[in-house]
Amino acid sequence: MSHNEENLDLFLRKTLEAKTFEQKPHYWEGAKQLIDNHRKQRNRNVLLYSVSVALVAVTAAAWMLVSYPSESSSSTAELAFAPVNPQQTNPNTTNTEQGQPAPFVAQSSSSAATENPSVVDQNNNQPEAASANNITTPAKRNPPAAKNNSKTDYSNASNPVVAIAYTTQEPENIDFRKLTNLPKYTQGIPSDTFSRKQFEQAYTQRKQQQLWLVEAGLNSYNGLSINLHGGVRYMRFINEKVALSVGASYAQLHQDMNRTYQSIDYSFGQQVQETTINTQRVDYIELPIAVHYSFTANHLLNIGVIPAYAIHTSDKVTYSLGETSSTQNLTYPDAVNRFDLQLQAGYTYRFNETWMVSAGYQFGLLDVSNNNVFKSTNFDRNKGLRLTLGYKLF
Amino acid sequence: MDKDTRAEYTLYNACFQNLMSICYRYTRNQDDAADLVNKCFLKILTNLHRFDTKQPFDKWMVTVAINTIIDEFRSNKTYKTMMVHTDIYPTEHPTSVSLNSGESKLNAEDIHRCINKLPDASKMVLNLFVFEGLSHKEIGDALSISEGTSKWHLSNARNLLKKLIKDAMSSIKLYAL
Repeated sequence: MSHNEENLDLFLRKTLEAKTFEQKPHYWEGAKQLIDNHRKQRNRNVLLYSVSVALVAVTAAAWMLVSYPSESSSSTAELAFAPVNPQQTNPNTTNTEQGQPAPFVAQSSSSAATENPSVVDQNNNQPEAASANNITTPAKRNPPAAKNNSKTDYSNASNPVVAIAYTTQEPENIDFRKLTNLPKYTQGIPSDTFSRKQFEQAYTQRKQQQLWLVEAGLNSYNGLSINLHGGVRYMRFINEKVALSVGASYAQLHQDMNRTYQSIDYSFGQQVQETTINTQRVDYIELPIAVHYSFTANHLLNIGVIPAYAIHTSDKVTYSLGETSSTQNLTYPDAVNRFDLQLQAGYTYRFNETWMVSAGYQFGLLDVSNNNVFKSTNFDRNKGLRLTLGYKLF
Repeated sequence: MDKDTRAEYTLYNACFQNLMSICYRYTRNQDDAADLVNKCFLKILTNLHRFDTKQPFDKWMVTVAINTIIDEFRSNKTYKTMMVHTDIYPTEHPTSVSLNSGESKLNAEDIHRCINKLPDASKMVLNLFVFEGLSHKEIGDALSISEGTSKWHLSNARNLLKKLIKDAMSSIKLYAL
């Protein structure tokens, strides 16, 4: 460093570091506002995270409840549909119109009787477990030999209840003594026979209630511009009417937000430099969670939420100084809030087992623009329509 | 004013002069500097639990402030453009200028105006090197540029500054006449 440069540095330090500043009241007001905004934003984030975690937890819990019957219900209904030798059964427990003893009778557990209203003998179309007359004690109904025989062959039963496991186990691994539920969609299976083939058919139907979908579509957000979105979704029916779904997707959402700020150059006359940031598109990674109601076989109504995280923005930045201006295409992700949460409602039509199309409206709950950067009070939300084509992978 | 706000206000008062002195060098006017001071103060407030009480508070505060300023500079997306397009300001031959403060009669405002006429990237490097005492390597790491680029910016800033100071001194002399 030359002597001249040292002198310059010393001169700069000496001159500028000696300057004192008056503390104006509005400086503190600005700081206080910034602190308050920061606290509000933090509280909003905590709320958003809590809601997201709660949604995920509720969804997971619902799935677990659907997928794995509780231990207690399993134990009470463990032998509910075990085959019973009519001669070992108390005659008072018979409940058929023909006066024949029922080969399968419900356990004395009231929960087994009430929790399985769909346990239907197809011949008389009455819930077998609904009558107190067919209640027997487990000891009477379940001789030890039958209880221990996990390979019971139902195919030769003269009048079996078609019992389908409410489980995801493979048919080969099912312990038939632990059958606990009887979904309504098994009612169409003839009740006078029960073979492995029929069981597998019913099980296949059960599996079809779980859909892995790949989706892609077009969306129109915040204006008429068309953009793309796509991803995967897992949908599972809780019962024949209601399904839950969760997915992961990538979406490009159109924006049209203009934010302008000015800075003043005081050197030898004032010049106002104006910078305008026009956010044109925001790309999100989304985790949509939805509840679907199937009001007919092919028509579903959907409602849910879409937590989203912005990964990229496309902005047009214009600098104006005096009469000259220049425009550049840049990415300015700090201009938007990274997290977004949208409510969605829509409709799905299933063309067939494989293809479906959905249309929906999304309404953002959070401000898209980062007002901390631009000191703006505007509330810019994502809102728009999506048209999505879904293909069932398996 | 509740208890927390009063404590924050007291801390703000204690930090203000130091923070303003730093932020003023990086901004065009006192209002912009005050905005930057507030951002630095928020960072200080939210990271107060990380402060090691065995260390001097002023030093920690200055470090937080400089990091905040660098973050702000980097988050400005024109930053990349600024670092790339610096060649529009050609380096000129060093200008000889007398910097005797008694002779120059330039005050802090005049110097501030001159510094503000520098390209933003060169101004940033000059401030970090001359006032904050960072090495070229540290500046390069902070701004994601090479040491050579940092040196170029510093040299460019000094040369331009000498010329600007000389011009400013000439105008003052003319004005005095």
